[in-house]
Amino acid sequence: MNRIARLFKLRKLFLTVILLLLLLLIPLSISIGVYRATLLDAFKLMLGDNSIPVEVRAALLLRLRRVLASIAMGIVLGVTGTCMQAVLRNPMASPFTLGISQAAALGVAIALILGIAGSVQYRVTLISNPYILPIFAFIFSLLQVSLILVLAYRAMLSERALILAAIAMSFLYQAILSLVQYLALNELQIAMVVFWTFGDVGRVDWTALKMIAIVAGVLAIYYMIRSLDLDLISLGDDIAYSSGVNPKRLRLEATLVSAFGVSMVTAFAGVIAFLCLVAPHIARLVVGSSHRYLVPASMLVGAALLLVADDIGRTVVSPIILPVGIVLSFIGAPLLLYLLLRGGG
Amino acid sequence: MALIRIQGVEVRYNSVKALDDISMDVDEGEIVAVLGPNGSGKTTLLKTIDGILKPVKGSVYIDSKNVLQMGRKEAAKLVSFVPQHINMVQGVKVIDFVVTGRKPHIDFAPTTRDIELVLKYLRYVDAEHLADRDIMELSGGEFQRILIARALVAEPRIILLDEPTANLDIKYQIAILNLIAKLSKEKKLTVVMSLHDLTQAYRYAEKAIFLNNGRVHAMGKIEEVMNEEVIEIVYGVKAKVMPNLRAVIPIT
Ligand SMILES: Nc1ncnc2c1ncn2[C@@H]1O[C@H](COP(=O)(O)OP(=O)(O)O)[C@@H](O)[C@H]1O
Ligand SMILES: [Mg+2]
Repeated sequence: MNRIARLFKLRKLFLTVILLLLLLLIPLSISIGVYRATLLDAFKLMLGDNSIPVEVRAALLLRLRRVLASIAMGIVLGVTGTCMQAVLRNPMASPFTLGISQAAALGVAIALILGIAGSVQYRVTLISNPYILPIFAFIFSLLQVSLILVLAYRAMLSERALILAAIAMSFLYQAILSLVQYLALNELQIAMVVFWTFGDVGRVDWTALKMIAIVAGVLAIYYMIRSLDLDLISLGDDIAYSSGVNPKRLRLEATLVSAFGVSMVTAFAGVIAFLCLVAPHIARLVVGSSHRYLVPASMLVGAALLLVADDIGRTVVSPIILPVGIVLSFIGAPLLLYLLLRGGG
Repeated sequence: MALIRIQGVEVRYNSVKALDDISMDVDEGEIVAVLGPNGSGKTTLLKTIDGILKPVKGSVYIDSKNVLQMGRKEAAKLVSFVPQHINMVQGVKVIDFVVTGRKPHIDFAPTTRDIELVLKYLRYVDAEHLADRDIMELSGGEFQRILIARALVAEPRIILLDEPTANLDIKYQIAILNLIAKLSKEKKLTVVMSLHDLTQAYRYAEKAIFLNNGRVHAMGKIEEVMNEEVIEIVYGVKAKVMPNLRAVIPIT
């Protein structure tokens, strides 16, 4: 039927448009900042043209790293939000609103405190063993994941109650962090830990960027393969099982993969607020809720949104650079309120 | 052997016994009505046949194979379950929804052939014009037809329907039941459905099973089991059965 062919074509067109927008944002983001470069310089840098002056090149390379980090992390956060909303059948779910990011951040803080003992040379620790931080983040995020699954499926908490319970848990993690800061840390350490609770893409170095990019690629493939299964689980457990998808296994597997991705992001950039909640909703408005299109759309929207938010953070009170986590909170908090009030329907 | 054989099945929800010692055979192409008051175990029985619920005693055999021992994919190709409710998500089009029914045949992503089949079955339930509609924007009757189309795209041999006529007005109830009768006749599909309306069961089913508190109270050919005594014991309601009209009227 023509109308159906058109529907599918339109969705692919939307995906292409977001992709093009994202690609356009790359040179644009590189060109803006304290040192104003031209779009041409940005293109030259991306194409590996060596005609730009060395000192400009160095500055632009740092921006390029920032831009690529935003894209990789935006992909991870966007798609994990979509995944959590599907497997929990809860439009307010996301690693951030479920407290998974905050749990991971607590893990990072504890690793930093244990690992460096009085030194603030965290980048040295990072380079000597870049795996320690994600491992700690992942372990702590797993605690929160198990709690959420138990609350949702043993205690049968409603959609909203689950989100409120998760927010309560986030406060607990914050409280533990505050306690540690108050009792155990010196000022420099406190500054460093506080830093981690505001997500900031500028912190991601090349090693971390490579790791996050690989994770983003793996997650993208995993969720594309699972897209029809995500459609099924969002319809209900019985109907999914009847069609040959084991909902319990899928929920556990998909949640673990999400927690892993988010731990990775949080380990290197801190808590990036609300992006994983907002991106899926914008993507849904554009391509609908069929995961075959929603999964790539939420990745692209996540990437573009994080990039734009970081650009705003870099320019709005320039030369001060605002952490992107703070910028995103201004967009995300009203949206969560709106969803809670609307009852998540 | 019968296409569906239920043998001494007992199903529990934790401590609550929902089905007790149920045995039943269903032959290929038969239409069976599962009857009984609310909470008598109709939904539980349908889910048990599909292997969604695991009996603590007894077994269900589909085409001579234990449903719990065959792979889920294989079971899904044989049996489609049409639940009473699904979780509605905004932004899901009818075509997206119905294609999920092809899951047992899809390895990675739906192919053009899968989409063609979806359209074919939408046409079959007279709903092709709804294909690009949001599933939240359908009437009760339209949605029920879509649910059935979703079950049909897997091209199963058995379809299990949980109260397919609930929440529909009389016209749509009859349309759905006629559709089910047509399926059974044209596609030799075996149908097991739970129903509330005894007249409809009388008219559309060949066989009935009356459940009461999780036990079989009566079972057999519809003409034999549809009698006033059975109805009074199972539902606690006096009723008049009129064989010439194939109708059941409650008397108060
Ligand atoms: N998920 C469940 N947990 C606990 N008890 C249940 C559950 N589902 C059904 N039951 C109980 O099992 C019995 C049979 O329920 P059901 O099969 O839904 O009946 P029907 O479909 O005939 O109305 C009822 O007593 C019901 O309360
Ligand atoms: Mg029922």
